Amino acid sequence: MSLADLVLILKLGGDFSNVRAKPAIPVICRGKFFLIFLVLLINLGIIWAQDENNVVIGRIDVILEGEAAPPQLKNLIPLRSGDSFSPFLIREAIQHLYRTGLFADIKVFQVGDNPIDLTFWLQRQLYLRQSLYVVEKGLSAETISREIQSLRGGEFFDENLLVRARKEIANFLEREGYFNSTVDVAIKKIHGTNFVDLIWKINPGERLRIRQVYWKGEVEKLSLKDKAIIDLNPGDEYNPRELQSRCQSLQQRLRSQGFPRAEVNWMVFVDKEKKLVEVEINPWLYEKIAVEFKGAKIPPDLIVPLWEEKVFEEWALSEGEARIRNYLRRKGYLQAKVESQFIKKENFIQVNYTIILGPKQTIREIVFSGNKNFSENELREVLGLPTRSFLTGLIDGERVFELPRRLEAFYQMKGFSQAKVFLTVRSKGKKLVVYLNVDEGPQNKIGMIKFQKDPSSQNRQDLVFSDDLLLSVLGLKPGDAYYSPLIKLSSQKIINFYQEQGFRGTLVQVEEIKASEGIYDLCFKIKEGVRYRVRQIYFTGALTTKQMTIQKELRIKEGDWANASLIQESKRNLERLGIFTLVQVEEIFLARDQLDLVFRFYEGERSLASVGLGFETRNEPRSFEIWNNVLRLRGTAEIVRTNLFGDASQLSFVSQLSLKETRGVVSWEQPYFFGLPLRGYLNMWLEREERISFGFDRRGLSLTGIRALKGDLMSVVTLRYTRTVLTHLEITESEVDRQFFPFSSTSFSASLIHDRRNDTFNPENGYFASGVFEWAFPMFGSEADFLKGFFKYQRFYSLAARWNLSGTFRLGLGRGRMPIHERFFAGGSNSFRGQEFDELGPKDSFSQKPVGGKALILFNFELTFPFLASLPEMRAAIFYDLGNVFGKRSQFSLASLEHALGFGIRYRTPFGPLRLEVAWNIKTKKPRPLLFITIGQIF
Amino acid sequence: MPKFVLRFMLIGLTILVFISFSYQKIVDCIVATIDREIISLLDLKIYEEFILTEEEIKDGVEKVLEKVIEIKLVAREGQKEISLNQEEILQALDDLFHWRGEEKVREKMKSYGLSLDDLEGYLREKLIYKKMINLHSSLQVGVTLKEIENYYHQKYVIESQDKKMEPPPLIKVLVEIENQIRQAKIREQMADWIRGLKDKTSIKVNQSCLKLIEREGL
Repeated sequence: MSLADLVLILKLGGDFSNVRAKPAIPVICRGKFFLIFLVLLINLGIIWAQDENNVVIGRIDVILEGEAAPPQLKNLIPLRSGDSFSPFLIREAIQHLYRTGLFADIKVFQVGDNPIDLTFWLQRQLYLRQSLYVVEKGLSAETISREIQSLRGGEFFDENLLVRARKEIANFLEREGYFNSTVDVAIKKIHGTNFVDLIWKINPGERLRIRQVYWKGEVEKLSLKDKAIIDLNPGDEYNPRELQSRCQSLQQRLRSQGFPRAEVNWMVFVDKEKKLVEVEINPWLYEKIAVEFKGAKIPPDLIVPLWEEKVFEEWALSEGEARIRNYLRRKGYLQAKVESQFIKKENFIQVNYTIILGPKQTIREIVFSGNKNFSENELREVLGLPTRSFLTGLIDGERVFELPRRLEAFYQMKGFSQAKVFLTVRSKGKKLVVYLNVDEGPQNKIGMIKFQKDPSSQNRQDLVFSDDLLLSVLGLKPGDAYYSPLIKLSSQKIINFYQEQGFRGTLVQVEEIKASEGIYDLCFKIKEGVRYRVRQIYFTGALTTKQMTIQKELRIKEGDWANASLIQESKRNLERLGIFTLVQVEEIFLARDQLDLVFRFYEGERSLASVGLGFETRNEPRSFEIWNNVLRLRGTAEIVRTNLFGDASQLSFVSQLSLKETRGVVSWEQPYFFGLPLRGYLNMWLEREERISFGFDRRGLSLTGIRALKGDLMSVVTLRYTRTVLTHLEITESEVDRQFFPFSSTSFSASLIHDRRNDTFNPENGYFASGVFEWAFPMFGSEADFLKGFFKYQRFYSLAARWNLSGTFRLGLGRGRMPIHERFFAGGSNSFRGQEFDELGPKDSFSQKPVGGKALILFNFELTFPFLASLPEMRAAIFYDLGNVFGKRSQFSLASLEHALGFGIRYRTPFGPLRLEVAWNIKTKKPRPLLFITIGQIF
Repeated sequence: MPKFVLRFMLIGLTILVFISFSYQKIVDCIVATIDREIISLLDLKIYEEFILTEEEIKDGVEKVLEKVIEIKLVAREGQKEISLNQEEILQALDDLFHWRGEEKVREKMKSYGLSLDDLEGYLREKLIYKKMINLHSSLQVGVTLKEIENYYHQKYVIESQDKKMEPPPLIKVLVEIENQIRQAKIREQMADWIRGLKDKTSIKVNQSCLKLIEREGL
């Protein structure tokens, strides 16, 4: 019924002034009354006689916590005015809204019959912003926060989770030995947002004290020193975690004394009223097990763990023999024989291994025969074998016995399902020759490849993609080798391809049909899923980060096909920003071949501070021009604030202090350099440094952009302004080198870096190449006017049995007005080890201090190898350096290079090797040894 | 009849008509959630109408909700191990038509806006649930002679005496008691298993929606 009808009724109902007396007919049939009732009946009739097939949705209103919601929330609802009214679709809409993670409760109300107006009533999903702890005594807030797993900053908040969190805290306090603890929490909602803070008030309560300590079990076998490990006395505080740790220490000690099955258990009897506990310690040593080796030195750790549990002795003996044999083979004793003996007495087991080593031999040659389809080089490459042995064998004695299996696996993958490889070993004194005889057998190949729709598909149309396209995706073609597991894996490639095209739910089954002898036809049956477009993209959990910052990293937009790899690439880009501890992406499927994407973020800590003391080699701030490195004892302090304005930018302050230099650097880092896809750094620094022939104070400002190019290639461009004052100068003054005279320099540099090392700090394979070009020009009142280029190339080779060979080449050339602090210097542990730091090259005629040069060339060669078997991280090295620094480019001459030879010890650390080296400059008449201690590779 | 009475009646009638059409009634709400999945009021209605037995729906909304949660949890777990073929689904549909009447079912589906595919989803859940229950029920559960003896003396005899009946000798009721104990053990195991499933899932019941259902008598 409309308002117009109501007005009409009231108008009609109100005007009875013209009613005249009529004959006796029913009131209802008289004039205006009749009209009124007719209108009513028509309206009611319209309402009652609704066409049930065409009920539609009228208006859709959205209420968020009692107030009209912002218009963009309406877009979340996958229903529109005019759509057919369907309770099930409304149910699906509720599910969709819930899955966005934005709402904790959703209700839908209706008004009217046709059209039906809907009201979505939404309640915000709360997120926990932060938890604050007030701990009354004993424990730190940080310790408590680590124990709470169920409620974390950035995650959903629900009052039910508080119960779990309370339990976690209570359990932790109990484990720490507290009782009668109280845990209170207050929820503080942040107005206008869906975030809450939690304020925890924790009173750990009291600790129980120990009334008495009892010893039971095999106490008589324990010494006083053993018992002292527990070290518990009446009156001590009871700490369950500490007690557990001490019992485990005692257990370890007993096991190391020849009782590998020893156990130390404990029980606690609590008197809560008196707040006292009695502790019972139960050590059980079980049998003493002695393992003896005759004929060779074998590490006991190889065998003893086999006897820690109660095992079937025959198994332990034969397993022990196998382990010893493998160990000896690794050492080069391929013909070693091992026999074992087991003697059991009361509480004592004696295990004896008798070893006959045989000759120590190295595998110098591996001969292949029977390989018709693959060359020897190809097979060597497959097995990872070098073509010739250097100082050690081609392969160790343990791995050689794996070669047949590995080769057979390779042949099977190439379609030779019946391939067999036989290994024989022949001795030639200390050398062994290994013969691998291959019986290839016939090769199976792929015949025809077909693609068809799976019979269970509901859609009767042909496949969306052509056979040719699917074949190119598959990466297989008729005539290729047939290997069933690989064929099955290749089905996944098709599924991945469909996902990239926006399909979800695609299934692929492959039927392998033997067409003839050695030929297999493949039939891929594809059940295509549904193709989805991205309707909307939502972000939740980004409290600080701006939406624009997030959107820049997306590789997919609304309206695109739901390309799975672009969605994942977007996720990776967001993770790479370094401001989120976790990025999750969820696909929410809608009814009409559309899906919404929800990105959930958990933002990480924004403020970091660190202090360090140690050794460091100096780098120019954010520069890759590293050729002058000095090992210094230094202290470093760093403060970093990330995601400063919600745009993933970072501000840091770093200060470095050492005996020879001081530096303070302020850096501003941006993922996008003025909106360009280039990581940008703005650095300002003050530094002071003392070198051999000069010292300087410098202040500088630089703007650097870094961009990753294709593959592992990176480019760096820097615009820099520096103002340098020489605080002392040990060489003759010149036009550019003047003590106390400030020298300004404005320069532009561009670098290309290609890094294919397998490890940045401890590389063993691969290469590193970089080229830097710097142009200093007189601008902004600066005097510098020079051109400088520097090229570096490093190569790393892994030889057999952990022997590594590396080579480094460096070339530097410059022209123009180059002050001393811009010239090339060399000498020292990271450039040329035949001279002290900076001492290579021309010297001042008066002071004999190095003056640096405009040309530099350096070669470094190094061979490292295992040193002590018991210290695998320690290696020995021999090296050969040659090079020189030239005052002018015209003086450059390969005949004038200096040579240095030396050896050293390396200890591998996560930050690079710790190096101790001794070197001699063999060009001087009476070479004296130079000693260097450094950390890091020769850069 | 006086004019004002007539006007009053008309206005009253009109207002009543308006109220009946402007009264907001609940279409759907979230009754409970299992992790990120919802159980809505409509889901409960569909389960009551098409999936659950009379026995299962007789004890009120909260018991129905409990049952639906159980079915969904078990079905979710079962999807990893059990697959259904189309014939089984069609058979379940046929059984439903047979039990409720095809015309009635289709009418109800129309009122809910349910297609056959949508209904299949619910039937699938129930089928997987049943299969999982059968799978777990058919696992071997041992019953010892001691347990049978204890049951006989502690329960069977006493119950017989309460009924003023002479308890038969143990040997005659051995098999019957064994089955009873086995069934009880299976039920306990099932309950433990379902409890375990619930413990590792976040299940929240929305009291505000339940109150709405109660209030509106849905």
